[in-house]
Amino acid sequence: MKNKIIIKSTKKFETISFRLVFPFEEKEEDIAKIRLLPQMLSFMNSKYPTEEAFKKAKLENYIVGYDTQYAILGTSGFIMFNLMTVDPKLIKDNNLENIVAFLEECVYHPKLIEGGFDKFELEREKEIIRTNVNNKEKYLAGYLDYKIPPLVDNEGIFQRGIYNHLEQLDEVTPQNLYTFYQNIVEEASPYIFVIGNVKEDEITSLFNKYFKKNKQVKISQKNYNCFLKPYRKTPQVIVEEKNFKESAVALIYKFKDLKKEDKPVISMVRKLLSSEVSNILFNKLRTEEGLVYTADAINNSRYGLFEIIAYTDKDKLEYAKEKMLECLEDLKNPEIVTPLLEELIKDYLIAKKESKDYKGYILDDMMDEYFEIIKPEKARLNQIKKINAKAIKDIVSRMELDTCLYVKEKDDE
Amino acid sequence: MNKIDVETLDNGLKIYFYKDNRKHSTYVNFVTKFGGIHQNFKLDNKDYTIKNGMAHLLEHYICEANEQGEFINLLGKNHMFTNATTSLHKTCFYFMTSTNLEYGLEVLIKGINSPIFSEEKLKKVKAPIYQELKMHEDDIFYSFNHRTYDALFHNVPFKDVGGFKEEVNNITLDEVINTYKAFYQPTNQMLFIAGKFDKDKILKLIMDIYKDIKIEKHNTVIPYIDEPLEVKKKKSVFKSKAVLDYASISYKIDASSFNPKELQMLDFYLNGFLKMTYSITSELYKELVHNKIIDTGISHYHTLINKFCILDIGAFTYNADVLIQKIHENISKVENISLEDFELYKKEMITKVAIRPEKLTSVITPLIDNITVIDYPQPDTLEDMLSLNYEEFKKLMKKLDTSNYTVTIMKKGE
Repeated sequence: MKNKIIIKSTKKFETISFRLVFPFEEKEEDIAKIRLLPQMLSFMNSKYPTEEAFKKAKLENYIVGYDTQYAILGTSGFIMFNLMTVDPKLIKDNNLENIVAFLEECVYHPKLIEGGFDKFELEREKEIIRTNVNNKEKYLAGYLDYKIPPLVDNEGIFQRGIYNHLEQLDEVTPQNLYTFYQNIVEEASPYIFVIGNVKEDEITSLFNKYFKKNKQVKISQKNYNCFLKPYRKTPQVIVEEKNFKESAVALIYKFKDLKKEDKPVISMVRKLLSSEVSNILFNKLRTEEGLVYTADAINNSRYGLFEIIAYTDKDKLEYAKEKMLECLEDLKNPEIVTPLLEELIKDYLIAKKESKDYKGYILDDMMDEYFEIIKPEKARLNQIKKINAKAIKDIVSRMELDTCLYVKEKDDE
Repeated sequence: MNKIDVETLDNGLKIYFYKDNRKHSTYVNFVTKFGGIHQNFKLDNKDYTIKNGMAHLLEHYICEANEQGEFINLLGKNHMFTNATTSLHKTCFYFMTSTNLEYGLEVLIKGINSPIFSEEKLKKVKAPIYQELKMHEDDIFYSFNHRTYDALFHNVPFKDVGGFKEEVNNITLDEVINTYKAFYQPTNQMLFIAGKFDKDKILKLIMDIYKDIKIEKHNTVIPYIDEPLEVKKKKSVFKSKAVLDYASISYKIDASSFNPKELQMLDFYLNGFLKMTYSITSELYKELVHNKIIDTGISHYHTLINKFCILDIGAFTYNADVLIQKIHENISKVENISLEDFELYKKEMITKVAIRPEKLTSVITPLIDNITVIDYPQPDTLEDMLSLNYEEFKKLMKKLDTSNYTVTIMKKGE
């Protein structure tokens, strides 16, 4: 079976980027393993079994960047191996075969001890995660990230992050993590994305030489979206006092009868509220009222959630909330929205043009289009051009407030 | 990398042009050599001392209260990614555009040169800054950095770029005006333009813009601060809400004998030494992890303040005393670094500099730092990296006196 390789050949950049993708189906019991696996594959492998040897190998091969990541969209997961190297023409040394061989070592030959990952390294990574989670709670924005999902998620999907499943770390062993890796990576063929100054036939031939697995995992794009449905008769209001130096009010909304086709409109709502071109939130809460240093709109449309958050003094929270609600009302006014939409569509086109200067964006689009996470560019543009004030009013009218969360700074004693 | 052209206007403004027609966009950065560390100056023969936070406040003031309007908003509405930042040595106002370069330049240059000073505007500008400072107060390193700078210096007043609420609250309009007059002079400023543009057309535009601007000329001198080599306090320990102790050792190294070119090379050699001695591939790191002194990496940072190179090395730790002892034991052990390791580092630097043209900001930002931090008005070149030399590296590192240092320990919270 031949590898699936998607190549964009261009001379515009000084580097070549590779991304190898292994899709999988995300399950709640695997949350900690999903978080830990990329860490076990990032810093060493069986050929270079120490961080030092691994780093030396990277430097010797002109590898400018290497990492392993995971991404979760709904209940679809991806393990990704990313590598960036210098264009051989810059260094006058065609080391592409070494690069592909290095990738093969990283992907299929992890460092193993007694049938599992290195226990010492695994325990270290667990400690790092625990420390990061604990540190995240020490500042307000991090605390909100951690606090909000279980408040609004009655279906157990949105809160599937390590912050809410720390207890799983204790259950991960070197052996069961290796089994997890075997199921996703070891027997599978990756989806390979390449961008840079390369020849298609050379790259294809090199990958077919080193990557010879027969199984390619197909994924269902139906799993990319898991819309949480509104279910409360009245919004829940939660008030907390915490040892932060600032306070915040967060409004979290769900949508009635949400469909996939609504997502571009929700994305536009976010831009109307908090993009540079429009910035209704900033203008009302900061420029006009001087209420806040920052306010933001966060679109979690994959889960059918929309958050608006303002950071201010605790005695101004109610007033800030009023202003946030006014901003949403403004979105139902075509006189306000129509001219802004025109500018946002222009902005989209300009941003698309400018993004061609960044290899990272191009690579992300290549992957997202291939896996049908997003529509092809032309289709996306057509969708966006069709968004009008009526569509914005309609989607805002379908927003139902699920939770209003106040986090107030404690008075100094 | 393409050549960088420099033009100097009659008013003293230096303009750096870096052309790259492969790009769709142009990046513009207007830099004033005024940052958090500049707190004493002489304006037209009169002495002034300003508070922590002034540079940051002035950045906000200029953005929000000028004759053009709130220009981050104005440029954002015209599809330009825009922002402003203040750091130790400089204040930057920048944008990126593929459509509106001429408009952006006009708004930016005119805006920076036309602040409207009033008590009402000062009060309005301060309000969101207080919120921003409150946000920073939750950052566990906010207190840490103050304490470190407080322990390092006797007479250099710098503690924090953003300042503290009480200090910012007490900044008067007269202080803002005098600071603006002192530092926001074309002779103290630079304009960087990188990407796709017509140089002759843009140069003419900038000259025409300045013809319409009235700039009061002032004489500004930044006095030398007599700061002794010895640190003020050898150790600071305090409690925080961190989940682990964090400890660092900050060295105060006299760099007055280095000229700007030597400082440029020192930057690379020092960076290399710190990487090779303390990074995740070093023997020390492996020892510390194995002995459960640390889990995560050791951070290091260096900069120039007054005539001193400040070198900071630290990590989250289970045993602060052992960590500090180990860091200090290794700070002068340049002989531990082999030629082989040095050549690998050199290869890494050659690669890093070679690929900078891939992003416009990767070309311009190091040049801005060279100029504002070490007064070296050239970009780093491949030839510089090829000239990195193992013997010179050892000689330079041995020259550094690391006997003056302060230790700061942040104890974990309950």
